[in-house]
Amino acid sequence: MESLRRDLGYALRSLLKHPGFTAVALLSLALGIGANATIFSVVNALLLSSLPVADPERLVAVYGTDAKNQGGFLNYMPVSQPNFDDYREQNDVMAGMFAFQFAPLNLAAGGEPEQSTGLLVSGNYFDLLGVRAIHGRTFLPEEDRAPTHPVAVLGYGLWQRRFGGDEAIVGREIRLNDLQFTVIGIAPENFRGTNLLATVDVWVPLSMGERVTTGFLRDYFRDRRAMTMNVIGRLKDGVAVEQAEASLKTIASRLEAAYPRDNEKRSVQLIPLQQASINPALRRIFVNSGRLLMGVVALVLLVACANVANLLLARAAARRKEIAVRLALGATRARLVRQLLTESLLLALLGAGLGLFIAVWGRELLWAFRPPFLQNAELQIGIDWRVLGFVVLMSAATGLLFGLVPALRASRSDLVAELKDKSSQANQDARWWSLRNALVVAQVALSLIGLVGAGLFAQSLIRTQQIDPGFESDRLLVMSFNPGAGGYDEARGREFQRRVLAEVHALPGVGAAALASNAPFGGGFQRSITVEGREPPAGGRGILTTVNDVTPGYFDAAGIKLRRGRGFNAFDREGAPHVAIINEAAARRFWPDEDPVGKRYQFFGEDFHHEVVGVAADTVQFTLGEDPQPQIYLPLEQHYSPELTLHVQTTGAPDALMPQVRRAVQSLDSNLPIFGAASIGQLLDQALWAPRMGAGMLGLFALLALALACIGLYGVLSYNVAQRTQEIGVRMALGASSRTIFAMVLSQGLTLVGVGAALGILGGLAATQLVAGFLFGVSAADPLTFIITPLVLGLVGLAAAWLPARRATRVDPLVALRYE
Amino acid sequence: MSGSEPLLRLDGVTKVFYTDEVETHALAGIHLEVQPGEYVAIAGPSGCGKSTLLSILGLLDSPSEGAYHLNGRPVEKLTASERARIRNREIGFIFQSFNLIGDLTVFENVELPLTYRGMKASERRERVHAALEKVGMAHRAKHLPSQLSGGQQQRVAVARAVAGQPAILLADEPTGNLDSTNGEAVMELLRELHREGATICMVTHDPRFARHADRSIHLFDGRIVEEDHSPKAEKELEESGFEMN
Ligand SMILES: Nc1ncnc2c1ncn2[C@@H]1O[C@H](COP(=O)(O)OP(=O)(O)OP(=O)(O)O)[C@@H](O)[C@H]1O
Ligand SMILES: [Mg+2]
Repeated sequence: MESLRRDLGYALRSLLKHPGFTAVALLSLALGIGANATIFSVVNALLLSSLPVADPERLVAVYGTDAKNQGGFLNYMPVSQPNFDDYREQNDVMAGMFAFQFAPLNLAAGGEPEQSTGLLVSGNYFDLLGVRAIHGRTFLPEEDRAPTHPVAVLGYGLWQRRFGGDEAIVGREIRLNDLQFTVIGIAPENFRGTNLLATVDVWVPLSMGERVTTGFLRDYFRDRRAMTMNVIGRLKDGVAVEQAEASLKTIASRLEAAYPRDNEKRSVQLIPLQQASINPALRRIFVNSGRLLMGVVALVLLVACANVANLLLARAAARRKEIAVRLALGATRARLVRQLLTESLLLALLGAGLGLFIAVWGRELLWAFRPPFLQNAELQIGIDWRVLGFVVLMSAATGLLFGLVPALRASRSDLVAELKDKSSQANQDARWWSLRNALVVAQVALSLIGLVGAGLFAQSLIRTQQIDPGFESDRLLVMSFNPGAGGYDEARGREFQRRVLAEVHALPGVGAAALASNAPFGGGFQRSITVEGREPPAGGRGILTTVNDVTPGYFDAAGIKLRRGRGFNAFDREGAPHVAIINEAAARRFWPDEDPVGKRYQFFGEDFHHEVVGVAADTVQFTLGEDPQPQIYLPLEQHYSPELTLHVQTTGAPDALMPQVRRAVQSLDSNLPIFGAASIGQLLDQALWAPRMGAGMLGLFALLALALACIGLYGVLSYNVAQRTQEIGVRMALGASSRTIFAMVLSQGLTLVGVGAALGILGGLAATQLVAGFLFGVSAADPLTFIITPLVLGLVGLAAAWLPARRATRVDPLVALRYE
Repeated sequence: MSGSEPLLRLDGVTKVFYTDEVETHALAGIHLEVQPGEYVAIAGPSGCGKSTLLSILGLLDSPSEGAYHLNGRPVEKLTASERARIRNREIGFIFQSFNLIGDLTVFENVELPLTYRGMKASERRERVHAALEKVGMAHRAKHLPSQLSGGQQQRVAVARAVAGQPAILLADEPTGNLDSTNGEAVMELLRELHREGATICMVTHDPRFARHADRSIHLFDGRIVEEDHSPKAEKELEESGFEMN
């Protein structure tokens, strides 16, 4: 203990004695560890932390599956309400199960009308989760079964925001979707629902579902076919997840046999809630991105470690004499190694401390750049014990990594040679020198890998930006509202649609305006269709296709080109023949080698046909770069939609017209919340988030690695020039010109860069295969990237070698005559 | 002796070093001429300016005042690269501490000044071999300096100095780091070079070695205080192996 204190004291003193060395080492480490801690704290918050509920590890998410529609989110579907009821009643593996469903609720109380995030939940929701109200109470089982009077539990955030945290709100009434609800309780601050990315504003019993939902959701609320309920169960003691899954699957087969029309090929799968607090399909994307980023910051840290190791080697070289003296005086090697390691561990810990500071604002910064669909999410990115543990372990590992070899090296110093004979020093130097060279080569290689990755992502971003979304990409603005949720029935709703269009058309600066059920990049409700004269595939119900209900001016307003046939017109109204316009992807899918115009198809569950009257160009539905998805447009007049997105093509800049359009809509109903108001430019920007973020993050970290590698290269060459002053002087005395000396040092630097770059290219070719899935329109082995980035690296390396080379030319040849 | 144009001529050369407001007059008004083929020894107590004089002669440093003509040309106005060129072609250096480069082999060390001239590889190889033969180190061409004894290292250094066939050899206490046997061998080597016509300026403490020279210059406090010419006869006797002491 005593000797440890002395070691620490000595280490601290020696760090203070070399402020330049300490500063560069600490900065390298702080950046490396800071980058790691930042990424890790976000990964921790998104993927590792557990929900603030009782025994979270005993909770499982129950997902519906459908063997006919698989892949991505389709593997993790909700369950229909009647099926959920059967699972709940028939299973003997769950201590309890509850269902919940998100529903936008227009909140009119405590200020401007607002569309809040509502969650319809089974009566046992809070009890089964083990969450208690901080004021008032949660739901009683009977409040779910027989909705005598509507009740609601408020989320903490909404309570603070809209009601100033006033406890007296409990017992009072608020209006949600034009219905009176009594507030019975307030949820705790840290509980925001079981979905990490969606903060629930208000919970209401599931039994209110048909009264607060609109459109298809209401129509199919209790339909056995409609997968609408998210389900979570709590395992009975002693029951394993696999066992519970097998048991529920047995029930699923029973249900499939009993209701073949609705449940054909449908089943369930169970995922522990700890891994399902974000939809597993989305979580997988986070996991992959998290891996990628952790990999990149690990690279940065390695480069930083190499830097510090190099500095330590240089210093150990300068301290050889001191160490030889210590050894001669009887210090054991182990004792010396320990002392040197204490110093590097101290350095690492100090670096970690600074790194944590970087992480504290780094995670805020990172979260500020979250994807658009998470804009409203409130994720707690804390520096918790897990992050702290990670940082401490990482810094200890780092300290050993960069400290051990120099310490072993230093302690192995050859006593006789150091204390007496000078002639063997040349050899010794050559050896030290080569390890230091190897470190620089590794740094260069690692940073080139980072640069190549960044280059690929940058190119991918450029390609993505060049994608034609299929609709107007400049002078278009959109905003959404839900008259259905505002209490409008179909007749009043249709009247509202007509008046909105009339008001907006009348505004100066409006070129065209139309309504649609879907918003750009928002996807839409999907229905399965069967082509006339073709058997549905083996008992299946056809193919799920996105449906968009639009007014006749939609294609003009949104700037979508018609390829064949006609658009909609005023005659396509109720009572007229059912018509549809399909996009090119749907045409290719359903009528591969035929002209689809005039062909007919049927929606599942309907007994009449739609006739295709036109083919429209493909448009992006979710993400830029996706494969074109089939889409069907229907006349809004023939298919009422309670939720609408207004599309306005402007003659000038869309943002300038936004306030007038908003006022025009509000002039018709000031209680109707407007949401998703944006210019198409903003939406495109958001759609570019992922590639931009990828390119930005990789670029940032790659530049960081490059900067660290440059410091390394500069340091090694400077040290080398200093060590070789005598030799350089001799060369000059023998007639080497400054240009020769300059070229000698420069070429030495460039050799290191060249070898590092060659290794980096090989490493890059291997590493970029891992990110191929993230790239769009550019190969992971893109030749341009693999040519340009090494050149850039070479230029930067040249710059880093320049100063030491210049310094070498200023060596006074007189040193050749000096003899110590 | 031709008596015509001297190879080196110093006129009133002074050298002043300024350090921390202390002025050191390392050289104070040196007049010196060295004829082609001459062997000059420079002697004097420590700190009297011997190395400083040699560094000026070797164009490693410039005088504070005075003129220096090398081969009849003034050197004051030369650019750094012209000076480097002259060092490379006209001057051969032999240092007290050998100053071989540690990670180059014996061969490469001797080759070094020739590579700075851009000489063809085949010609370089011939010259290096000839130089190494002359100093009796040809069999060690592939060795590293650390694998040689001090005397051997200094012989390699002599080979490096003569390989480029310079107009003048400058040696600063070439035997200072050697025991007497090795020192003797290196001095013998210089004498032989001199017999073959080399011009040599050598700094030495040792009066025995100073006697090998045609002429000895004694420096004191940066001034030449004494010059003596060793009689030819005495020199020739000595060369024939006759012991004088
Ligand atoms: N670069 C320098 N800066 C300041 N003073 C110097 C410098 N070089 C030499 N001197 C001083 O000039 C004087 C002459 O030095 P010089 O090296 O020529 O002596 P020396 O005769 O070679 O001595 P020694 O026999 O010990 O080698 C000394 O007083 C020395 O301290
Ligand atoms: Mg001297």
